[in-house]
Amino acid sequence: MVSAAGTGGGRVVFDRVAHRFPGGNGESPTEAIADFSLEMEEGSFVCLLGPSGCGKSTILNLLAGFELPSVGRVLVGGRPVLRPGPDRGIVFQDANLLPWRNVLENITLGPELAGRPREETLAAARRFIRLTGLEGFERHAPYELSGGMRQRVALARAWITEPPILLMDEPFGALDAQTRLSMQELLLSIRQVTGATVFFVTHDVDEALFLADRVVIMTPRPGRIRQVLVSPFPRPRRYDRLILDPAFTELKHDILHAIRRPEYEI
Amino acid sequence: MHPKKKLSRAGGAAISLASVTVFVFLWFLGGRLNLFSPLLLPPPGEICLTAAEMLTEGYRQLPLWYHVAVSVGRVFGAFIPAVLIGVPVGLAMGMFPVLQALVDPFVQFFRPLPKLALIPLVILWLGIGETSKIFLIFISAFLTILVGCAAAAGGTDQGRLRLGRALGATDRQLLRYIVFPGALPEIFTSVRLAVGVGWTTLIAAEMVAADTGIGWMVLNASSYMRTDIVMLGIILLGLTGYILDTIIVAVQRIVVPWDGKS
Repeated sequence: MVSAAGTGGGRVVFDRVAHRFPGGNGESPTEAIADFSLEMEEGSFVCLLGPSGCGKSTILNLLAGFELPSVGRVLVGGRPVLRPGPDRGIVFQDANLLPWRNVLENITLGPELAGRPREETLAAARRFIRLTGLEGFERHAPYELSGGMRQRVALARAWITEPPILLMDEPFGALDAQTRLSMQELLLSIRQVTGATVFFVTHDVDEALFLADRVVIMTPRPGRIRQVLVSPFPRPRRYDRLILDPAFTELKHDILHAIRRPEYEI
Repeated sequence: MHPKKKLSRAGGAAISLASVTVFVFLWFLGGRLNLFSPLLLPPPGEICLTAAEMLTEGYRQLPLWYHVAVSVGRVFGAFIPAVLIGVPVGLAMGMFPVLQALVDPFVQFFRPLPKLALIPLVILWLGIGETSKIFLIFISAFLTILVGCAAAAGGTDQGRLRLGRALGATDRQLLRYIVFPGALPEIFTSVRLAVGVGWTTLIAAEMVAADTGIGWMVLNASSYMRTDIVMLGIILLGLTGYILDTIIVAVQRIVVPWDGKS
């Protein structure tokens, strides 16, 4: 399978996007996000950071194509996003595995839907099962796995078709601290292999600083960009070293301050 | 007794068996002590004798098993097309709100309608042969399955649909890979209900100029005050329904082993 990365398909542009949800029962519509503009270079890793309810997931849903923006455009590889598609892999907060399929069958769902040859699919599956450390669990049912293992399956499932863009909606938010760290390390190591553009939504400041090239900090609703922070930390990164770095502590302090700053100070 | 305390399967079965035994014993005792007229409520012994007699001599020149087989055949003759049509149409209704809106008024009108009320029309349209009988059962079973499957497909987890779409699934693939397997537990529930409803409608169906079948046997025996045969028929109806349900539950365990495990 040829990776689509490197053909321009991984470039993302949000062009003055606003989104509102219709109000129920004659109430006025809810403005979820306002005037959101962002460009992501191919292969970059952007974390969207903000308090809950600030419209982070809405932005991810617009990029996924689950919803269309009320105002503005979302472009992937230069073309507007009109519907979901396999060029944008998704990992949800809940692993969302299909309980009637075993681990291997969950991972191969995408290629199967695309009608890829079985041999090729199995070879790709073996590769990602190895990368995600799922060897020996191929025949297990999802309900036999721990939360972290399920999220590994979800990662392999999203990644097996090697989409140029990977969307992650607080994928490790429900995991315990230990598991979360090993999943973050796993994500970084696989990304070194595949080189996809990653759009990662989180409310965890440490996670954003550990993972991202750029951290986009949101205001409370309606979500706008408050600040974009370029990470100064070289890769490969190690979490245990990172937290000892004074620059890390300083950035974390700035971000926490930026998040807490009341709206009227902008 | 502790509310909700889990019982082992064997423990539950033992308690159920004991409760049935006590019930039959009280019934037997009541008969012995002449607490009720044997004409209105024949004691268990008499029903056993009737059963033995009917097993050797049959009812109205036809063996007992034949009546059971005819009734089961009618229910299945109706039930199989009800599943084959009801499941896909029901799932499609759940997936496409426009289709649901088109069909729903008719479904909701006919579903609670007592099927006895349809007998005159069904006789006029389809005659008094097997077709009418099977049609009456079909209508009940079909509507039950339709409503169950529409609800199952309509309740498909939003996250799973999004997952399918994000992986590039077409509408047809969503149905096959996401909606249908996800709905299987509820499909089985609606099929179980449909067997129950179909079996219930059997009496209505066998009111249509029948001369075979357990339902007909009960109706026919009642007009001769043969309450022992009526009771035997009722017991057979109940037992057969119970066995059919047990079979479906067993199939469900094989087909949907993941049901109830999150």
